[in-house]
Amino acid sequence: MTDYWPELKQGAASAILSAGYPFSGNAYYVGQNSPIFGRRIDTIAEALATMVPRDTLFLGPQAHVEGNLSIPATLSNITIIGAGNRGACFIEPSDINEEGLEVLADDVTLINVGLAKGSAADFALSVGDANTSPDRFRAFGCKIEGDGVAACLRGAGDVLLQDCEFAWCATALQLRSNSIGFNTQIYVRKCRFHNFTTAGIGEFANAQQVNNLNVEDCIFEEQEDGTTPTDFILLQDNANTGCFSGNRFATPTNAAAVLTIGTGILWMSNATEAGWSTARPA
Amino acid sequence: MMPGFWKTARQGFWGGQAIGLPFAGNVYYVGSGAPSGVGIRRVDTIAAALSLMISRDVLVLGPQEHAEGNLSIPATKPNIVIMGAGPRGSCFIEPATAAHNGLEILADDVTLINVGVANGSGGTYGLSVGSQTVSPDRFRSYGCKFEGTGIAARLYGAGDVLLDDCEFAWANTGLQFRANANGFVTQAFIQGSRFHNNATACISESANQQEVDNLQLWNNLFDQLEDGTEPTDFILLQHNGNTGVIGGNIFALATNATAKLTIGTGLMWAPNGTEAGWSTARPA
Repeated sequence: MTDYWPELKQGAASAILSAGYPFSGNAYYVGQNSPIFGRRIDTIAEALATMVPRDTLFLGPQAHVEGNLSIPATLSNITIIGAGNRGACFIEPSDINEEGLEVLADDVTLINVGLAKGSAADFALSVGDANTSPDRFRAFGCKIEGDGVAACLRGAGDVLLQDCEFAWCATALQLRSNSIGFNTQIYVRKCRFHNFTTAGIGEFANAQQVNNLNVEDCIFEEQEDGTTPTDFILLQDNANTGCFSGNRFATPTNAAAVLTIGTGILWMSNATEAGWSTARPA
Repeated sequence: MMPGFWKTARQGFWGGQAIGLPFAGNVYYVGSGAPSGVGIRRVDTIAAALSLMISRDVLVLGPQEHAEGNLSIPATKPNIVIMGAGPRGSCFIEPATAAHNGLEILADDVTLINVGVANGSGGTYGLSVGSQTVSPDRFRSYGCKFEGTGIAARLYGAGDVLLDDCEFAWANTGLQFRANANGFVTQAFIQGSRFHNNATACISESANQQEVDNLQLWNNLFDQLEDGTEPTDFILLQHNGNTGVIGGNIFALATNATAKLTIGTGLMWAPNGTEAGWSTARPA
């Protein structure tokens, strides 16, 4: 979990920490004490309605009480950066029926932004919907949480989730195909999953949901009271493809029903209390 | 794992690469929405920029598809940096002409950061470092994606190469080593990178001959094709004259006792992972 600051430096490398990278259009600021030299907007929703492709949105280090936010398919290449210390910036709806953020555009990047949802809503973060499959979504140093599904990848392609946290939910990361096809080339690395009751990484239904899923060097922990989730991994359809490697699971052995993978997903050495295991979960 | 790109980008930032190296000559911009103003050098195409640039210049590309091909950095232009601006993966070079290759690098000390390079559907390679008679030194690539119907990336007699946190995909061969008239590829260091959807081989020789000295493959992930089928070879470096170490890599294979991992006696096999675990046994 040490990659966050270097990633911010990547932002700095493109100058997006100051006023947008060299090819960006506009930099917007939402939050208290936003810089007076920038384009200050009252809400994230209003900012998203104003922005055009390649714009950058800086959020202040605070709770942003908004929900049902959406980045439409026409708004590609958007970068949203949470300013301030890690975790200090988060979006949390006040209405129990509101979702967090839906991403429908290609090339959207989130850095240091927390996302939650209303208690009765469906997701905190959704990348894609029934008929839209965004490409190249990236999230670095983000925390995604909610009572139901924290994050959902719905027919998304070429996704990188790095050094993120998925927590306080039923399903931490749900994979769901859509009318266009499966999720493809999903790369989850160095992330942390905890306090999920149903599944850490789970399928929407017992059907093919993903191709080329690479889950690498992540940690999957129990709930804080020591109880285990129903499943740490639940991807039972044999047509899913990809591999799990270098992950740690807070369970005695991998010979448990809490780790369920179909035959198309390979199980490199992953760790439990029993050590690094070469045996596929069974 | 794979933290190198951002670190390097950070290094680039603090080194001033985002606005030109402290010792750089010029900074050029290619792409829609390029910055404007006094002293900003906007050029219409990458090819035109490369023809203008001199040693130590920096080229910043916009986050978009750049439909150009057969690009080349000649040996007379060392110390060139090409950076893709914008979110990771959003800047890529993809020829519109089927027969075109992507980018050929013949100069020393060329660095690519966050740039995708592909070839046309009938081209030979996305990226080639070196040629039959030219062996560039110190090529570096961070956070780049190489792809193409033929060879995604090729090291052709290159020396002292670092490929860090890159992606080699959607090709017959992900990364090919090829000796040239000057000798073998030497000191090639590939770390934290990801290979997937390569039908023939992820890493391969051009022929059954010595191609590389001091190859170091460290902490890479080699996945299958997305439909679950395996490439013909994950590693094919069968000549005993090749030297180097392959360690800490993950292969989407049941075991390493397979013909899909073929190395000559000069390549050491430090523990690498398959579904059978971290194995000290050489592939056979």
